[in-house]
Amino acid sequence: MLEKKEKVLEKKAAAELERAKEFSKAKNKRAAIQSLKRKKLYEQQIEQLGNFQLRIHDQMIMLEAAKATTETVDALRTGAAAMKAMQKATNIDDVDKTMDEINEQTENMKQIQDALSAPLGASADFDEDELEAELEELEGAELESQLLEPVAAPPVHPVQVPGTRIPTRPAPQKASAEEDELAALQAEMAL
Amino acid sequence: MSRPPSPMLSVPEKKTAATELFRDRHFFNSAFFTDLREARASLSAPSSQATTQDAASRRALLLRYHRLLASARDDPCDFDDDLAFTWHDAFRPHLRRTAASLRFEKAAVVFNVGAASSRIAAAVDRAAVGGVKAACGEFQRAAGAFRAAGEMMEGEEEDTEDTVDMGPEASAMLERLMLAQAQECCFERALAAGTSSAACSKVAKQAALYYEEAYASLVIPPLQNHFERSWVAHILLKAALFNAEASYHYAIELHEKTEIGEEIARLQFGINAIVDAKKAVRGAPGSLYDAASRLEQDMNQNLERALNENNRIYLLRVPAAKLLAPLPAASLVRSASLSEILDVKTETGNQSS
Repeated sequence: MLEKKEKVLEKKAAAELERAKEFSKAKNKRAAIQSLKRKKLYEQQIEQLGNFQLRIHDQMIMLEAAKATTETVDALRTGAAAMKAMQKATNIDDVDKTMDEINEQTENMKQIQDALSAPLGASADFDEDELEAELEELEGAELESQLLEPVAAPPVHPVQVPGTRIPTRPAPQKASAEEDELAALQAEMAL
Repeated sequence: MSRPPSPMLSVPEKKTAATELFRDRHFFNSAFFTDLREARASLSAPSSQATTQDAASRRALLLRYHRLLASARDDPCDFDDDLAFTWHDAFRPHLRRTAASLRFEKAAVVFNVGAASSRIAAAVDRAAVGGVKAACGEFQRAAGAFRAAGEMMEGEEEDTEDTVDMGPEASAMLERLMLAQAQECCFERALAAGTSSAACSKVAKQAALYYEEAYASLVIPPLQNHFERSWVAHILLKAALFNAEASYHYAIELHEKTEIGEEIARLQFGINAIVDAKKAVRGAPGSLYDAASRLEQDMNQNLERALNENNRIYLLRVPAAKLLAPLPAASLVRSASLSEILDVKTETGNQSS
C-alpha cells in the first residue's frame, strides 16, 4: 500500500516537473516556480513514505531474528530434554552392571576357546616328543625298505595311531517358541 | 486384560412340514419303521420347531433321525410313490422346496444339525471353565455340517432359486463364519492363557481373514439381500475388530523390540480401521461397538506412549501405512468331518469336545 502511494506521488512529481518546464518555455516564471514548489512537496512526501517503509522493514527483520532465536532456544530445550531422558535411561549403575556383564561374557568366551583348543580324549595323553620319535622311525623304516632288494625286504608292521579329530558338537536348533505356543493352543482347542 | 465375551452369531434351523412315510407296505408295523416315522413326526411337530426348544435336545433328535434314515436303504422302491420332503429356507422361511429325494432330506437334516450346533455354541458361557473350548468345538462341528450339507446338495439337479441357504455360496459362507467364530474362541483362550503378543496377533489375524471371506460372499449375489442387515453389520465389524486386534498385539511385540517407527504405523493403521468401521457399520450389537471403543482407547494409549518415546528418545522414521506388509496369520481350527458331526455320543445330548 505504501509502495502504491509512493508510485502515485512520483508520478505527480514528474508531472509537475514537466509543467514547470513548459511554463519556463512560455516565459511564465511565476507559474514555473509554483510547479517546482509542488514538486518539492511531493518529493518530501515520498521521502517520508520511504522512512515509513524502512521502519516497518526494520521491524520485520527484528521479528524474524526474534523468531529464529526462539526456535533455536526451543530446539536447544528439546535437545536438553531428550538428553535428560536418555541420561535417565542410562543410569551409571546400569552402565557398571553392563560393563561387568560384558567382561564376564568375555572371560567366558576365553575359557570356552581355551577349552576347545586343548587336546581332547586319547590324544591328550600322548607325548609330543614320543610321537615325533615314532614318526622318525617310520620314515627310517620306509627309507630302508626302498634301499633293500624287494625280495629280501622284511615285512613292515605299521604303527596304529588313533585319530585326533575333535568331536564336533551339533549347534542346538532352538524351535520357535511362538510356534510351540500356537501348536499347544491348537492341541488344547482341538475337537 | 479380561473383557466380556463378545456376541456370536447362530443360524436358525430349517422348518419342515409333516411327511407320511412307509404306509401301505408289508413292513408297516415293523419296529424299525415305526421308530423312523415317529422320529420324522417329532421333527416336523410345530412345538419342537420352536426356537425356544433346547438346542442340545433338538440336535439329539436330528442325529437320531439321521441315523435311522441312513439305516434305510437308498433304493427309491422302498418309499411310497407320493413321497415328498418339504423344507423351508432357514433365512427366508416363506421360501420352500419340496423334493422326492432322500439326499435332499439328509442334507436338510445335516444343515439343521449345524444350526443346532451353532445355537449351542453361541449359548455357551465362555467365561466359565472349559466354556471357550466347548464353544470352539461346537463351532467347528457347525462349520463341518454346513459344508457337508452343501456338498450333498451339489448333485441335486433342479432350480436352485429357493435353496439359497443350502446352495454352494451359502454353505461356504456359513462354514467361513463358523470357522471365524471358532478361531475367535482360540483368541480368547490365548489371551486368558497369557500367550505371547506375536502369537496372539497371528490368531487374531486369521479370525479377521475368516470374517472377511464371509463378508465378501454376503455383499454379492446370490447372498446379497438374503440375510438380515444386522448379520452383515456384525460380520463387517468383527472383521475390522480382529484386524485391529492383530495390529495391536503385533505393535506390542514391536515395542518390546524397540521398533518404534513400525509400532506407530501399525497402531495408527489399526485405529483407523476401527474408526472407519464404527462409522460405516449400522445395526451391530451395542456390546460389539463397546468392545471396539475399548480397543480403540487401548491402542490410543499405546500410540501416545510410542509417539512420546519416539520424539524424545528414538527419533525413528515412521513408515507410511501403504508400505506395511500384511500381518502373518495362523489357523488353529478346521471344519469337523461328517463322522465327527454324526458321532453317536452327541446324539444322547452329551456335549463331548
